[in-house]
Amino acid sequence: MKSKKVFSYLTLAVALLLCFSVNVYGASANAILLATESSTVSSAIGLSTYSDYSALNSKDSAYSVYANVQCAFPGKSWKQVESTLMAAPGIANGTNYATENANWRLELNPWGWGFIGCSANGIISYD
Amino acid sequence: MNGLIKNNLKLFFKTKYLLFSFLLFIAIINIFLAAEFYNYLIHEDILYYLGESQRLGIVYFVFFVFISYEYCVKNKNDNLLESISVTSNGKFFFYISKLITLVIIILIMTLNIMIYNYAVYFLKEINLWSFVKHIFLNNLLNIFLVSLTGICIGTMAALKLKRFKAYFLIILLTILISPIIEFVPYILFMGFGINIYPLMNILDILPPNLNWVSESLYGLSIEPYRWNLIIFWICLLSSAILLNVSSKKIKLINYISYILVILSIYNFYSYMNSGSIVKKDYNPINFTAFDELYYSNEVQREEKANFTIDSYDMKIKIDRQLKNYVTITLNETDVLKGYKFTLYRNYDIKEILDKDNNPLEFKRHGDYIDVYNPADEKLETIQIEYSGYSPVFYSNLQGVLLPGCFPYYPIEGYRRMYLKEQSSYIPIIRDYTVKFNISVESALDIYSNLKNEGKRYYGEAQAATLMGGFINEKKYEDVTFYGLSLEELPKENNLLRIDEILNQYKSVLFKDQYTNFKDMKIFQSTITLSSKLTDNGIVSFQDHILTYDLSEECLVQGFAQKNIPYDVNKLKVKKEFFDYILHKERFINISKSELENNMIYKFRRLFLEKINELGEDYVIKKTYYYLTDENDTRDSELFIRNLN
Repeated sequence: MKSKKVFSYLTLAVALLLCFSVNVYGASANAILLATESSTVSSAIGLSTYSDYSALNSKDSAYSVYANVQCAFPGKSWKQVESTLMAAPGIANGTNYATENANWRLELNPWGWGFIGCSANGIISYD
Repeated sequence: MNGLIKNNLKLFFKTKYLLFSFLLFIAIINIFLAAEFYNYLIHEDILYYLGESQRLGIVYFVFFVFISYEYCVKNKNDNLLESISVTSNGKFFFYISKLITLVIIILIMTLNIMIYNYAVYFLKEINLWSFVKHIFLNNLLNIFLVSLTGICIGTMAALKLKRFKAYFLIILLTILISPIIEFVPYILFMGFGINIYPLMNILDILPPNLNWVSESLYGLSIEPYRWNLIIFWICLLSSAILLNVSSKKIKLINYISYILVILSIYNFYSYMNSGSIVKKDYNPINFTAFDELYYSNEVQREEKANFTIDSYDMKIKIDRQLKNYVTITLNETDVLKGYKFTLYRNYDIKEILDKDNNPLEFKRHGDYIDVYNPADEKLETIQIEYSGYSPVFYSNLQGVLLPGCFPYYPIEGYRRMYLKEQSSYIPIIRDYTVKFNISVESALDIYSNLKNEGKRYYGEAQAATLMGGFINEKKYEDVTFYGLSLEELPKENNLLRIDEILNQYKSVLFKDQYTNFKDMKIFQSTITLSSKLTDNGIVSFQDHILTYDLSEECLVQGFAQKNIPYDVNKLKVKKEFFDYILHKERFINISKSELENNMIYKFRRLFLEKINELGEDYVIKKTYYYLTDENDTRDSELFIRNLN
């Protein structure tokens, strides 16, 4: 019983270590907009002075979709940095920089408030 | 009157529900400001703090609209008004004293916010008089005048409407004024092509752009159109209040009312001619959508001119928008029938004249102009008068952001200027220099890459960059740095060791073309430039550079790009090339799964494969030649796949 507990702690520790080791050189987060959703926001990728993003609005989408890059500096709230309208189908990509470390995230939002019927995905990351 | 005001103040603070609302309001405001003050100690950004404090405008508006209604309607219910109305002008003095009482309360509450803002300013220890003024004007416009509009609405509602109707109107107006209604005109426009933005904007009295990263060169939006709009409402409503509370016999009051109506009409007219503004909503004429929608269609062209330009003589006037009278001296080898130019499409051309001031026929199609030569001789000189603005590259009384790579003056040939998939402007940089002689009439101190004598800017350069607003000039030996006063860069000392920094990359990036950086000018890119120009706002001219940071990497890229002709087809390779050289460790240490699965790194994967296959030195050398070779017109994908 005791060895089972030790094993599970070890597994947890290794899993955590793996998570952190992925983040040594960077982090990324996906934003996946389903046809049933009216918007989606990726999780924040952590502090970095820049972020790369890429997004794709599928040809099956009913509308154009905005790819919004947002950043939050320590002590500040989320603010918009860039907003690109992707046609259906359409892509958006780019890099955004900050002079200090900021947290970054990507929002995918069909052009109309509350609109659904769009399939899009995107990724935001730093390496 | 003084006694009446004192009594009214006493009445306000003696009325339990008014006093309770007021205390609650003070508590909410101060808790918010104090919490933001605590955050300020972390981020130390005074412009951000000012922006957050101005968010309270909507809270002030709602509070004063309700409180003024309740305060004015109270005595109506107490039957006090009936007895006062019996006395000569009693009703008039009664309401005016109430309004003055409310204005005193607004003043106190505006001061409340200003104290926090100025405390933050003094804590920051920057000596920037223009920002002291900016804080004052923001609070005056976004807090004081917005609250005053609230009072006018509340008082009018109290005078004219019963409680239910009044509350309905007040709630409706609050919704219409607040940003939550923004989606209605947007959906109507995008979905059905119905543009009700002009109607909705008439109620748009609150500060815009507060959800966006602030533009440090510009500050918060306090353009003249916002003052015009809010003064229009205040004059209109206060004239209606005066006419309602004064007796017809008092001619003076009637005259004042008419003057207020005239003032409101004048301000409305001025509001309609807003000129250059920075508003980051989704209105099709503003920052986010104007060019995005336009360039979605295939409207861009590229065609080289069959002439060059010798010199520009410009008389620029910047007030609400840019006005330019430019004389272009041409260098033509043959007699030409037509001359092609690129000039941003939102600059309206008034006239085009030849050297003898005869009008020349021209055709405008978007960003492109064809000027026709009616004679069988060279035109030699063309004079163009135009005015207008760009919603992104602003030029008004508050700020000037006119980078030389943006065609705010006519550039020879047809040039492509927007990259749709990145929502970015493509820098337009000619490969030779021309003479500039520019006189700029502006309320701001304008900084330029050109030599400067008072309001005159002159010299020989590839382009003329003009910037004004919260910007200052600093000398670092041979380099002049134009930095944003509100966004100090952490690595300014790098400017003292540029030679040392560049030397590390001499063999790879500069080779024989190692350029002299003496008398170089470096401009700090604003958030607009770094997010709206390709290469993140690092733009390189022979005599000046725009960069968002002074890190070694940015400086190296800035200087190295001087030898790399700008080609939009080579952007992908250029990014990987610089990332590999300047951030090598980060570049190669990217995890295998990320590299294989993350679509962001699709092109990087190709680049790395070639490095592994052919060797680093070879790939870097070949890539550099490809980037610097103007005659190599292959796009990035083709180049990297063909590399062997």
